[in-house]
Amino acid sequence: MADNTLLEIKHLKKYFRVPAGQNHAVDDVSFSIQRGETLGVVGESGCGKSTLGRTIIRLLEATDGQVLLNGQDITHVSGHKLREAREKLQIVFQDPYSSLNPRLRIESTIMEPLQHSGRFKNKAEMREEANRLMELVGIDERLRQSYPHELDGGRRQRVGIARALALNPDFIVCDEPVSALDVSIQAQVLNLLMDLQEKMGMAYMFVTHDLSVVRHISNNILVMYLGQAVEKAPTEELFEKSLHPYTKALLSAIPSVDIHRPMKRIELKGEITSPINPKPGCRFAARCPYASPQCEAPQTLEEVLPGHFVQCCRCKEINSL
Amino acid sequence: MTDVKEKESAKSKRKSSMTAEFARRLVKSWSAKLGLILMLFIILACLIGPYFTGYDLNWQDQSLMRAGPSAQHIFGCDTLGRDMLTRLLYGGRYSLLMGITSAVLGAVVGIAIGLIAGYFGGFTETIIMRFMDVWSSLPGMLLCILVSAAMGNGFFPTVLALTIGSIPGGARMTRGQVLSERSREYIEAAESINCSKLSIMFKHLLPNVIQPSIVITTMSVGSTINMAASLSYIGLGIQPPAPEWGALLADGKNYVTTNPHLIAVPGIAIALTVLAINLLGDGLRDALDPKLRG
Amino acid sequence: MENFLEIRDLVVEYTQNRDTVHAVNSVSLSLGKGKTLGLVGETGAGKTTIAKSIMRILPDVGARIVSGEIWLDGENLLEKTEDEMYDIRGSKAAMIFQDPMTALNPLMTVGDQISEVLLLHNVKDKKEAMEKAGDMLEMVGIPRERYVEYPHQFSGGMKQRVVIAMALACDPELLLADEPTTALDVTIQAQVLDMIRKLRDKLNTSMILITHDLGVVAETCDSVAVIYAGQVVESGTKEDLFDHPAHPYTKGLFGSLPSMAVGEKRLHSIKGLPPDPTNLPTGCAFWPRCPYATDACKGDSAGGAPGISGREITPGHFVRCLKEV
Repeated sequence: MADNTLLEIKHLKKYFRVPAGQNHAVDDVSFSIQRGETLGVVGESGCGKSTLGRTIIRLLEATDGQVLLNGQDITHVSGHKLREAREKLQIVFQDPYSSLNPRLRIESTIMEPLQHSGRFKNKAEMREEANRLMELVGIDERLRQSYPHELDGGRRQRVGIARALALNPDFIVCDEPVSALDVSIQAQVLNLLMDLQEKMGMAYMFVTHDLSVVRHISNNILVMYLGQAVEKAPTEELFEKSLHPYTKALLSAIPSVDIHRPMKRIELKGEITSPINPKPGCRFAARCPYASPQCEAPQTLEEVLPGHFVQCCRCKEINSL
Repeated sequence: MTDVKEKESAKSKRKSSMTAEFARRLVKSWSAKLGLILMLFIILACLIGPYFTGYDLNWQDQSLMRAGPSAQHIFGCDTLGRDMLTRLLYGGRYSLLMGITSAVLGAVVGIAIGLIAGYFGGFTETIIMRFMDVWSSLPGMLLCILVSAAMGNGFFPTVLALTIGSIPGGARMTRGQVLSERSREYIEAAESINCSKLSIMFKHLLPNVIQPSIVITTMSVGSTINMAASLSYIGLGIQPPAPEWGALLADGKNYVTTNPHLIAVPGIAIALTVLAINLLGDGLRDALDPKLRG
Repeated sequence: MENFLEIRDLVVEYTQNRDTVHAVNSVSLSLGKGKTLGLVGETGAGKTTIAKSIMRILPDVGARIVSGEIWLDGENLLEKTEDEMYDIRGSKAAMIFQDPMTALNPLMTVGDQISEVLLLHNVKDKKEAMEKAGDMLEMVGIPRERYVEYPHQFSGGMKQRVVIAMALACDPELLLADEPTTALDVTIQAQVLDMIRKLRDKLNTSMILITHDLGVVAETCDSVAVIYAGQVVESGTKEDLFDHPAHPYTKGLFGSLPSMAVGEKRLHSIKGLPPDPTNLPTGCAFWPRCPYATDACKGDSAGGAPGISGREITPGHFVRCLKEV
């Protein structure tokens, strides 16, 4: 199935320099994404999930490691090759209030990527394509000449989606695309994203902190903690049989709407620490109920069960595998 | 309550362009209205007024030297017996033209510099902004005197001197705006759809950072008019017999106690113009301030 | 049981650019001593306005309580003078806001902020106030030694704990929590909710929890009121609403939840958008989005809506809907 691999991320690192030292926002993360797949990336604020998405699509320069798109290394390409790669890799942002230029009309916003692609001969063709995109994402044609501030959050998010679709990408990073929306609107946008994937077959990387959303939309899930991937597994397996102590705690913390199921919560000590100048060894150890001296050694992500990767040296012990 | 407002505007499907909205709010603000009316009046008066005073710029009656206001000469006559009103209106053309030209030129250059510094950041920004710091630490008057001394007197050297003095303000203001705007996601979105750097700077950043600079520029017209007058007053800038307002003031400075109208007339004209411009600037700020975003 | 808090027919309006925003339209709610009521609804539904009306902290300009009564422990708050309200706020009723970052003064130590609240109310002695403030910090799980630290030295979850400590400092009998955990990460949210529940039970505080998260309601509340366009469309015990949701909007909310759609591809979203509060639909406010709407739901020509008022379907379970759906 290697030929179906769209993206391969190898030991990707992104460090930021901050006054206190190096912020290891993404620290040695490796995984791959198949065509048409949805990979959910979950974690709490500051775990590097948004940075990961932005680094993959070259909005940020990787500090180290590789991103292979269809087998070709795009980590440091520039000029023509970078433009080509960016057409395949798009992004939908979290905040529909700041992701649209407040001074561009809806139609101009959607037409802009078309202008840069060079695929269209004249304005009329572009306008026609923009109309098609608007229809595709369900924006009424009469809103063409509106400004973003005249639209509600859900519609703005649809405009953001249309802009990302304009270049016919193979891969879209969805960076918390529904977390700023109300529940009923959120469901509309999630349905739209799933319908579009069915029609056009692109792969999603769905970055979110909302586990119920990610469960609904993803095929596979990657759990991040302080810049590292701690567990990756097919969605149902992760929810049924999570192996990493952090994933277990995270899943148990979701408030459930099932009022008859007794709460069994795994209490975590303290709060997420900072990814600045981390020590080698497991970053979760300070909060982990199972921490032991062996956790101070550097950890690696290992395939514990077929297709199920965990970064925890005590994984087998804890889960009696 | 922002989203209530939002739904309101979404409901009223008026295709209200932002310009129309801005104009509506500008007219609503009383300070802008007053400033605008006053400014239009002053400009009109300077443009067509001189043809209706009944006197030529160089008309002279030596018997009327320093004469006070009268029915024939409502603002009196100057030290050489020329009609004060005519000279004041002619002088206004110079003052306004110099003030506005140099403020606008300074703003254009300043905004461009600020845009480059803010967008590229890093080393480029440090160099540019430190240079601006040094630049603006020179007293404006001194700068103007230096330029005038180096390039001579007259209209263009003076405009150049005034322009140079007003660049750092616009640059600083724009850079600050760019810094806060650059982190917004629509800039990232523009990068991801292959917008060029130029296109990001001018299509995306510029329209979103220019508002405060417009206000600053408007306000700085007042200070450049003042500065131009000061230059003429100390004998630099525009030279006699051109009746620039500062020159009129200089002309009358020896007669403050005996013939106060010589100072009062150009003095009040300068004060009124600067007031009008500041009112207009205030109104602009009010009209531009409630940002048109959610 | 005598209700500790009772709101009767509360109507609140805002004036905005000469338009009237109908924020709260005849809301009646009740809450027993030591109980927790969840207010659920979308952005702009009027949840926060209800809470602010109880505290009487609506903005002076533009907001107006048109009619209604708010009875707290046998007293009508809407008849109180501003001075009387000053004593009630903090000691009898306290409010926690969503954003802990803006609720704290960055230039004061967290301990001093708590003791300031105490000094304003029942504690006279500075030393005693500091002692009690230290106790409060410990009660919300922050070591007493951190009394002298400033807000920026705390993480988001810790700041929200400080805010809660401030709200609880004067032992209020009613706590209004407006989205207290929305800004927090899920593991931190779990910790903070846990703490709120424990403190509520320990101090026997009555609480109104405003949230858009049905999961949080399920874990924390005894009863629930669903707010739509400034009206209570359904209210009852938690069991009533979660096991037998009756109003189409409530059903739509549950259908929109991804966690309720295990095994299903599409979510059952509610079509359309919430109504414009300056221009509410006649009749039932939900009819333009309702899959069951008929002409009767649209109200009569006079704009009235005969029959669309709270209907008790089982004891204590009220639904504002004409239909049996």
